Amino acid sequence: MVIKNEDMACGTSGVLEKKTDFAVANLQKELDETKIKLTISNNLLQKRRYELEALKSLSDELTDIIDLEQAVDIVNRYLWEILDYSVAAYMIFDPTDKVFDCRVYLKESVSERYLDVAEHELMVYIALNAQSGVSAFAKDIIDKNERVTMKKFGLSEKVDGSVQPKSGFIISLGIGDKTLGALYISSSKDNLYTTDGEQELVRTMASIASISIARLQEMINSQHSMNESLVESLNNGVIMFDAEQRVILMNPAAQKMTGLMREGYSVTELYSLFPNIKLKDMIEKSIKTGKVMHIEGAQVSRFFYEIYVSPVRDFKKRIIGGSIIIHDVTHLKEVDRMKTDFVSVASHQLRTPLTAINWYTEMLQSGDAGDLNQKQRDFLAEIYKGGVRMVQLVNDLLNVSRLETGRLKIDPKLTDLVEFIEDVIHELEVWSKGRKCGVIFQKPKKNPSKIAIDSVLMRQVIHNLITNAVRYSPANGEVVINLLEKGEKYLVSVADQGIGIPKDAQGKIFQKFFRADNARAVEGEGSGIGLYIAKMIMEASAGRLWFVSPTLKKKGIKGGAEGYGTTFYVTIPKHGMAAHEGERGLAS
Amino acid sequence: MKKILIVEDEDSLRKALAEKFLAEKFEVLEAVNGEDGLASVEKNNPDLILLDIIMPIMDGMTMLKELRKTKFGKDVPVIILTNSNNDDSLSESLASGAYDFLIKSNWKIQEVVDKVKERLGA
Repeated sequence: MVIKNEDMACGTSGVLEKKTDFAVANLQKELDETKIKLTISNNLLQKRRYELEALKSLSDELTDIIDLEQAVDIVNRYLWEILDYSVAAYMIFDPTDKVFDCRVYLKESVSERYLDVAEHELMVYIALNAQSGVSAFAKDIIDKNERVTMKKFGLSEKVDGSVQPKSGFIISLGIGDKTLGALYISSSKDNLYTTDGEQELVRTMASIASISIARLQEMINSQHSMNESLVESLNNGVIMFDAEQRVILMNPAAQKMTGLMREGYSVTELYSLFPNIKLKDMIEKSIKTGKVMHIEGAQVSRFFYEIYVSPVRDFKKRIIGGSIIIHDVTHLKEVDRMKTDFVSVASHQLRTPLTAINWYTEMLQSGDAGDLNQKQRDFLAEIYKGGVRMVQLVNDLLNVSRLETGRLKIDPKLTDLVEFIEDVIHELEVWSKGRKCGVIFQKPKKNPSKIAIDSVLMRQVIHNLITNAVRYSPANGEVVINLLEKGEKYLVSVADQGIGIPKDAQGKIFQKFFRADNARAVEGEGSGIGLYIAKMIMEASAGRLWFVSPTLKKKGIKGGAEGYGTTFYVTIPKHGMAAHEGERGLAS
Repeated sequence: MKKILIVEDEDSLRKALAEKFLAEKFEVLEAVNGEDGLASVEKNNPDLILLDIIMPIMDGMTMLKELRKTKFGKDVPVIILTNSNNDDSLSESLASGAYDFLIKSNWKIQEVVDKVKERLGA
């Protein structure tokens, strides 16, 4: 029994053992399977992650790609890394040249027949799926049994007759929702691309490319249409021409100004339109130098124009043509003339009563109408001072008007510059002494030879600089005038130790009617026109006028720039002031 | 006593000049336009003419040119005294033998007197 029992027990235990072994084996098998599954999932996950990263960097790379072919190139680079294939073939319709561009990337040698299949499959797909224009082209090619030139890239360009396509798929390529071509992926291996994953990946890549190109094109289109409507609505005439100097754009304003129609002719036809300017030279120079050329005073019958010519560049900054902008200034000329007429009439009208005031005041002062007491004399002195200031203002206004309209005559004559400056200083001697200010002239060691200057204009400049220097100097101050030869120029400097020019006023000091606050505080008189006139005179005669008013920063003190004096500099070319044919001299 | 003719349409200025030259012991003649002026020169034979330019009926430039054509006026000294500085009339008047060209507002009345005296050597 016992044995039996043992037997039984043994027997039972043998069955149990067998059962356990089986279970363990099963478990082991399951475990192994799970392991394999896990490895597969892991690999898949790894692959997915890699794909995702690839997609991300693909979309980054595509952000500024506008050209579908270029995008296809980039997409293929990624597919090459990720996908197992023998042939990847792209066919894209080029709407500009109306041809199909076909590229084939080969990972292995394939037969000629293999490529024929690829080409045919693509063409049929496009004929069936692309938008009407493109599909008609594809159908035509199929009907006529024409071939498309394939550009081959990749590891092997050699044709191997034995390799045949075994698996493959086609997806559409396009921009936005427009199908412009197709991508054919195939392999000589069996049973590839059976999972959705692979096709999906390729589809995703293509659609990333398509979306990003569409977005950019849309952006460019809207920018383009904005620019276009801007150009169309401009009052300025705008003409654009290409590298062959064909007019490619002419807005309505330009058509009106030139009387020419929109486009389709050479820019040379414009040359004769503006007989008094050299448009040809401007265009050539602008294209050659890449700079904007500007000319005033172009005239067509009774109209006056300012013309700008500038080069037009493509996105790679290459000059691909140019633009001409025509700005109608006829009404400005008219306003200018009216302003000038007004100023000369007004100044004449103002001068006459001013003369009466000044002359009668002067006669009262000199006792022509009997003796005066001190108070009466004082009052009359004030009236007279006001009258003189007013006369000066009228003269300044007249001069400004003449300078601004370019009607001021500049008539240089050979002059001894040292004597000339001494003269001006001498003229101001009594006045400057009255203000307790010394004026020192540091002459050059060697007397410079005579130089052609318009002494009336130059006197106005030097006189203005010295009076300002004295006026804004402290009591017992000193104004130092220096004359130096500097290369091809003479340099005259007028330095004072006066109130200086505040930093915020330095940019405005040559503006018409501007006076710095500290100058107003020291000296109530002054119209703020003297320096403006001086600058205009120097610039109209090929000279220069500028100043240096040291900032306190340089002196190590925070704050404005006042109180450390100012030095004005004038340069005159050695060959003299540039002459100018004008109607009038200076009104003073 | 030197005789001076003032040709000036503006009453207040003519009056001021007349007063001043009288005070300076001149014999003063007055005219209000070029036509008047020409008649006065012929009739009174002045030693010097102070001549305005912008005037009604006949302006100063016309009067000066007419004057130079006449026997009685071809040599009489003329000083232009105007408030319009136009370089054309400046050069024109100097070409017609004017002694000087003064912008009224820029000259003291005493300086005008001095200019006249300078020309007359008085």
